[in-house]
Amino acid sequence: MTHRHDRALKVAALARVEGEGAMHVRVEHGNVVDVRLEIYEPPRFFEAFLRGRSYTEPPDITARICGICPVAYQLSACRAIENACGVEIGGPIADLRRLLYCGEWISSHALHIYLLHAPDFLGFPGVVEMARHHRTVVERGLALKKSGNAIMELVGGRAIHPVNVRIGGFYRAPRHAELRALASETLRPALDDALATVQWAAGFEFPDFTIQHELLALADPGRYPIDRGTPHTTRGGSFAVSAFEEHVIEEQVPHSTALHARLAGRGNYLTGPLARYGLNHGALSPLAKQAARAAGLDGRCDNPFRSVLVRAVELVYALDEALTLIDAYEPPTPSYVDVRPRAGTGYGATEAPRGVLFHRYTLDEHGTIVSARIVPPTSQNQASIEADLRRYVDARLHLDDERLTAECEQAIRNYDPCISCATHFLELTVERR
Amino acid sequence: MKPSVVVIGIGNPYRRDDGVGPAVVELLRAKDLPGVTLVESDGETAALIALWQRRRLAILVDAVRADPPHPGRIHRLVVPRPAAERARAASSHGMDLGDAVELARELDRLPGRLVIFAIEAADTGFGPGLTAAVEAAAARVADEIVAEVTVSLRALSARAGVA
Repeated sequence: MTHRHDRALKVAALARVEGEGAMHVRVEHGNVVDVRLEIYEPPRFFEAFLRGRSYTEPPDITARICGICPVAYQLSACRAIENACGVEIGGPIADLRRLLYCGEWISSHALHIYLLHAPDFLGFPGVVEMARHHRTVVERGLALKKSGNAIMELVGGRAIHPVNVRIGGFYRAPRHAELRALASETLRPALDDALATVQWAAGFEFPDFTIQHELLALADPGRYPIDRGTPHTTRGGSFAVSAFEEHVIEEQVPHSTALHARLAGRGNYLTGPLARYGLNHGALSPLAKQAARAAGLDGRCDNPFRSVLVRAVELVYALDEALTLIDAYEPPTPSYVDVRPRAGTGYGATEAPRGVLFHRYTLDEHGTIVSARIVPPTSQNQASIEADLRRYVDARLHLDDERLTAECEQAIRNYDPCISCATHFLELTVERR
Repeated sequence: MKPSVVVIGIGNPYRRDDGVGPAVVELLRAKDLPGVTLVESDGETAALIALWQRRRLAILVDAVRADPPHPGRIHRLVVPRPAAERARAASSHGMDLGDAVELARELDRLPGRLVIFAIEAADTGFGPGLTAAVEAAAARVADEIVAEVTVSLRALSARAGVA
């Protein structure tokens, strides 16, 4: 163990987050003086790339921003463009979209819980070593992930960058029999696996660490928010999606090409599973609520390490909801609403697995995109992640560099940062002077 | 039942040369290869394992960074191989191709034969389109894959004929 007050060390790439980026921690005279999450943002490139394109193209183009949450990008884009064109999609098309989105939640949460996060709690450097000792558990995680992919393949046309989504709905609606077979052969067993996941994760040991950030999530009356909703915060009430940019202010910071988000007049905040659960746990299905209670979660979860449990509860919810949607499914005919372009600006927000994903598009009268704005969840959380990490490191300066770095990595993984949405390379540096 | 051969092109076509895997798959689509699954992938571990498990032959095409770089240089790896030959993929994800191979090995989910074509990238910045050297390499790799797949399918059908 080192007892130096001023230390500097450099560690290679931070593993097991979605993508790559850079985290830099500076310690001087025994005090944490700087914590920076360095980000280079693809959405900014895509915003420029979208200008001059047709209003029909963003679902396919923005799906490429992230391999883990393409549906989130597609459906935020659809909602924003339909809003610009004065169309609100409801009924069976909206239900089918929600089902597709459930597939993405299942796939993304299973990936994060089993392949990325669980090794931290079980003391393994990664999932390969974990599989050596917990083969059945890893098999269960892969089966869960596959069940989410199966929904995306059937409803979205394929699991990676689904091709069946279009403005107004779908190119083709799946047949009832196809969905029923998916439900009985794949999703019902997966729901049992999801319940087992909650039980398993409830047995992890969680470091004692709590956060007090303001939370931001969508709220969708009567149900847990996924594919639509109105932004709500724990302190500030609610605001319309169209007012998102008045309430969420993005600022340049010197160390990052990403913008730091804060709530106007209040400061940094957190979006994602902890926020969704804190603001909407009452809207979970009875089965998901029961699983949450059994796992010891009450109305609000303030420990980011326990976010793995919240994700597991959301996994139960997404499977339960998918089965409910399939039970009630009637193929929409036609499978899309004809959306005619008109000049104007539209706004759309959905709950990506990692939090609120906002899109805004301005179209001219021919439907050509004049401007585009995309605010992904990871860059919204960036300031809060930095603030949390600063406190977390401050309380652990007695650890040697290797241990401290490992614990920082685990702390960052709590937020499941989708760096492929928000950054290019992630590398962790701890510098002590 | 799954076709016995899959070709997986890993990468993002909006990140210049990172899109070489999907570009090779696109070239192969024009070549009419019956009995072969052609698929694009972002290289995510669980998805890769699901794609290649229970296949006789899986061929992966991915972009790699090298130092010093020789853009367009092609590396052909056959798994299993000594760890020294493991190339780190130019992926935007936290777990790389090597992790996917090792996890699949641990779970007995490797295909019968796994061949990786790794093409050295020049530019993985934002935007569509390959650089000239990588585009030329993509065409060479597509031809090599056609040859490899043809031999493999012939061997499989001969074996089926004997059986």
